[in-house]
Amino acid sequence: MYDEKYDVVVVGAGHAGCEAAHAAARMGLSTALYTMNVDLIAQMSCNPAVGGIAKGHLVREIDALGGIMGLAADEAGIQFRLLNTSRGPAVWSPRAQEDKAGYRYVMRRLIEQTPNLFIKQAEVVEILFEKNRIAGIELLDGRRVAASAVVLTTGTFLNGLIHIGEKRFTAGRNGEPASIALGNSIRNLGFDWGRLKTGTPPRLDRRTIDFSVFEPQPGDSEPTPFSLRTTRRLENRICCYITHTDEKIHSIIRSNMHRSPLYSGQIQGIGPRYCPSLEDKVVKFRDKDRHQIVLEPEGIDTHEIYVNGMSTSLPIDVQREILNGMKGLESAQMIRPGYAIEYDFVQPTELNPWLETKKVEGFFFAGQINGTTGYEEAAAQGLIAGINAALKVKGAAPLVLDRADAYIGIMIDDLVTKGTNEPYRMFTSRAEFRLNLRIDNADARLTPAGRRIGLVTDEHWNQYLERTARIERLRDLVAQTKVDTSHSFFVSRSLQFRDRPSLVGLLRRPEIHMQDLIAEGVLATEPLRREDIVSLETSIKYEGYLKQQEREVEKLRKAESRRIPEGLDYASMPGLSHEIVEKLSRVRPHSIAQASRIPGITPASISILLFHLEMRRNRPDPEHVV
Amino acid sequence: MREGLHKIVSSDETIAAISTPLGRSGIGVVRMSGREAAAITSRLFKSNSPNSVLEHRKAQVGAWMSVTGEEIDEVVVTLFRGPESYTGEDVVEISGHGNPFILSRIVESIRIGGARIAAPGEFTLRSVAHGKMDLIQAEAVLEFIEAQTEQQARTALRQMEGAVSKRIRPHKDKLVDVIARLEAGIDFAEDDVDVPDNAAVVKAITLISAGLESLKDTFGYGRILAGGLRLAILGKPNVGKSSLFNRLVSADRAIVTEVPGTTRDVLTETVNMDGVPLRFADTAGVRETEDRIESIGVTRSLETLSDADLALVVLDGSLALDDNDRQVLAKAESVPHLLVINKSDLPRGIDLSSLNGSPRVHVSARTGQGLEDLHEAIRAFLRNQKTELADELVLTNARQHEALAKGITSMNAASDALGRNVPHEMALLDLYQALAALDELTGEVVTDDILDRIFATFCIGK
Repeated sequence: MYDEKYDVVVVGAGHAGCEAAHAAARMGLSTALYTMNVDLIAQMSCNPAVGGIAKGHLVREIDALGGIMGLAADEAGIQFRLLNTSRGPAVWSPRAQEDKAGYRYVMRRLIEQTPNLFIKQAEVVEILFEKNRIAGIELLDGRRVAASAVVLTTGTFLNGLIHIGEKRFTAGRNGEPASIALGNSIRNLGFDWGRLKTGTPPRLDRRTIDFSVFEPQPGDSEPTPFSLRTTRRLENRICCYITHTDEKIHSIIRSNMHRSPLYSGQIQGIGPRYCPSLEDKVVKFRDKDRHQIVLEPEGIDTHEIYVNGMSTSLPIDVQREILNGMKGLESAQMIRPGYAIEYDFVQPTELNPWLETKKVEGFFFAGQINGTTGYEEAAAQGLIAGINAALKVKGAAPLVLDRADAYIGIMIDDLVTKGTNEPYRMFTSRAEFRLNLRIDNADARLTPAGRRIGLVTDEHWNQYLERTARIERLRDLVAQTKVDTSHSFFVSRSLQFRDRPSLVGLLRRPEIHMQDLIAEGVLATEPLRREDIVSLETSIKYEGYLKQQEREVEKLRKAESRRIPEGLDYASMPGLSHEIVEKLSRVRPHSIAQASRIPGITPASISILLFHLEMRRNRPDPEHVV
Repeated sequence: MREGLHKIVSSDETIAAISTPLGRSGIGVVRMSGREAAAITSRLFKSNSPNSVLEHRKAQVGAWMSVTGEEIDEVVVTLFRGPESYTGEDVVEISGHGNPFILSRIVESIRIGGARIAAPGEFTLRSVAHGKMDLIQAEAVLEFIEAQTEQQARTALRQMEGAVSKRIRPHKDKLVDVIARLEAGIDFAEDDVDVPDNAAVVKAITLISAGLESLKDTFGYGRILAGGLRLAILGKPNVGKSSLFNRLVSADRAIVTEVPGTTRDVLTETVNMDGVPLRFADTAGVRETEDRIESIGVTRSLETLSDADLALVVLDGSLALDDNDRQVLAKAESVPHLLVINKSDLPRGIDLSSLNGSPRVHVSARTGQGLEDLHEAIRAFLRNQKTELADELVLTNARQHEALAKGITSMNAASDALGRNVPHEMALLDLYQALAALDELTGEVVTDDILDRIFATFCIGK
């Protein structure tokens, strides 16, 4: 009946699929990773970069749990910047330009090096079930593969439809076929489907661009890696270039608006507001006289240049006119045009917080199929889906990160509690407990959990322990050290003291910075990352804010610990309106905290819910439970 | 995004509320439950018997003081130590006079003393949580909460159309704007968004909190506590309004303030009746007039009427009703009112059967006859209007006052921090707390409000 059998099958080898397959296999389960084209594993379909504000946090968290995106992005990275350093360390976030081909290569190597993991090239056409439980998959050639858990990471391939001007054609990504058969198979399962839209800009030939007119954007002199495991010094090998559109370009766009599928009504899906097409920007922000464009190389061994900021679905001739109308791009040659793509997604309220569907046991979703956008968002979900698929097969409790644990926890909670109506992207402003969710403490937050579930390797764990000890020693040193006020550091700054202050007392002063103390020899430390030093200093300077937040975290944890039993019949609860019953029954929250976050849930209905839970607790006799 | 937690009543704070239906009896009870209940009581309660200490189930007589040390009321205080109490926690019951304003002031003093105002049904919720209540009892409470919820919805609706939301919303809107700008600066540092400098942000926040500060004392609970019950004395010219006014405000030696009317034609004075501030406004006579100056006076009288909690419609009892009287009566229809039939020392000329059904009192402003009846009618008004809805309103207003105060404190903390160049992501903690407080006030929490605002304001995306 089945030709092959695996514990876990992952469908799709993009950023979500790679993390899912790696995690499940690393946790000891036989895992098959299915892709339609093994040469395009971990393909970066849009911009040649990983990380960015909040997204860099996600990558660091993936790494801390034992995932691989950070390692790959460090190895294939060709320019590194730490963003937001003008603010506090909580919102510092790494970003790197990647060599796209290099990234694919590194990721494939990491996958191939993973024991228990098997790469398969085949088109999956059907998901197989036995009652409400997953059974396996069926391939195009008719073979059937049995699996205890299946992770679906199909990206934009489900009923993908590409638009370039008036032309449209089905596709999964540029130049690749869509998964129509698989889409139809899943569609029959009765999930709540929606349609989204995203886009990508044109790519240019480097040799046809006059870079001298642009403002260069170099990498950091001291690159910050994504992975806390990366020890080699990273190198900046390329530069990006910044320019702007002008009124002339805007008028070209305006006069061709009728040819944009976005405005002709040809595109039905909803696009992301934070990544609008250039035509959208021009229409919606009429009074803005210029829009930023960044030219980013797609790699070292290619001439292809990504035109960041010019996502568009205008016809190719208009794209060319826009590009050639810009200073420095007068004779630029387009290698491939920009396009918009519409694709199907499933409302993520169909999922449990561990990314298993509520309708089908053993069936997990991750990445764009859940309504998200971005490589990092996809990888983070892939990791969690892979981990939980493995835990499911092992019969262990799922791993659910909460909103105070990680950005990953926030993203998944947002998705499963609220659903989404535009491609979901991570922002730091989504995090209520942002001050705690820093890149410098991602390992302290998550590596022990990664170790517990068997994903963090011995080598990784030892690195973690050593680093933790280094930071502890610095913390102790700072707590115990009295400074020598005759040091030139203080003399040269004419700082006077009544008695010998402690280092902690000194660091509370706004003008004293630990990095200066280290640089000028007041304080000697073992090698530590800049973010570690600044975070320690910040925790001293702004202790009050951290405590204030800690109190909020306690409230959250308390509310999260008030579990709502599965299968609670909301309709039979006196006091809840029909609207509230409908919302609660759809989301089926797992805790009072999650229930409180469902849009439209009132404080009174939460109180009523609490009543029922307390009554159940006090009267466990099922006959008396309402 | 951030709206979840404040929907959940936290169980470790001390809560307080008026726990008897207002005005139903001569005695009113304020109940307080939680860890701090005994400590707050020992700070605010001055027992008549010296050196007495609070003991479980032992009632004590004494004075309840405001935090600034004025006596609010003579009360009986009983402490019930948890778990032998209604909620299972330490509970203090304070029995005072059944006057809503006194009880509100006691609750307010407790709030300032460190407790928070209880949410509907919260005492019962706690008692369920501590296993103090069986299923049947709890279900009865559920029904009660349900009813209350409906009532809240009605109240919220009224507030939406009326004062609170409408007046808070512009301030909240500005606060969302400030937060969105700061957040855009953090989340979209890579896009070219304009972020105002700290000085400009501080200025914007200061304006918002100043606006809220001036609102705080002008509506609801704050107004009642500060300004008392508003009574408008209304009538056509020469029915004796001013004599009655003088009588009412001078008969009581406890004149609290003397506020000359902001216009020449509305004079206001506040007197104290059983601890309730009564604010009488004497208005210009209402009649049809061609005279421009006089018509301004008439307009102002009608404005005063529409602001009033209770109108005293003064009629000349020695004369028959005329068109001007009827006009006054028609205007007064829209507000609760008493008919004050003046000049009871003169032979009666008025036809009582032609009057509407509102309570009526016969007085003589000249001799002072019947004045005590008028006071009693005002007291009766206070008692009678206190339906459950009014309970809820007093409660709601107490929470509004608390939320507004919280919002202002948080905003001030944020502008303080920004002035010291504290990083934005930290100052934002306070701004979000302020926003949560305002959300509580308007009763509307909009998911992803901040991101919506960012995307509407800035062209984001490279």
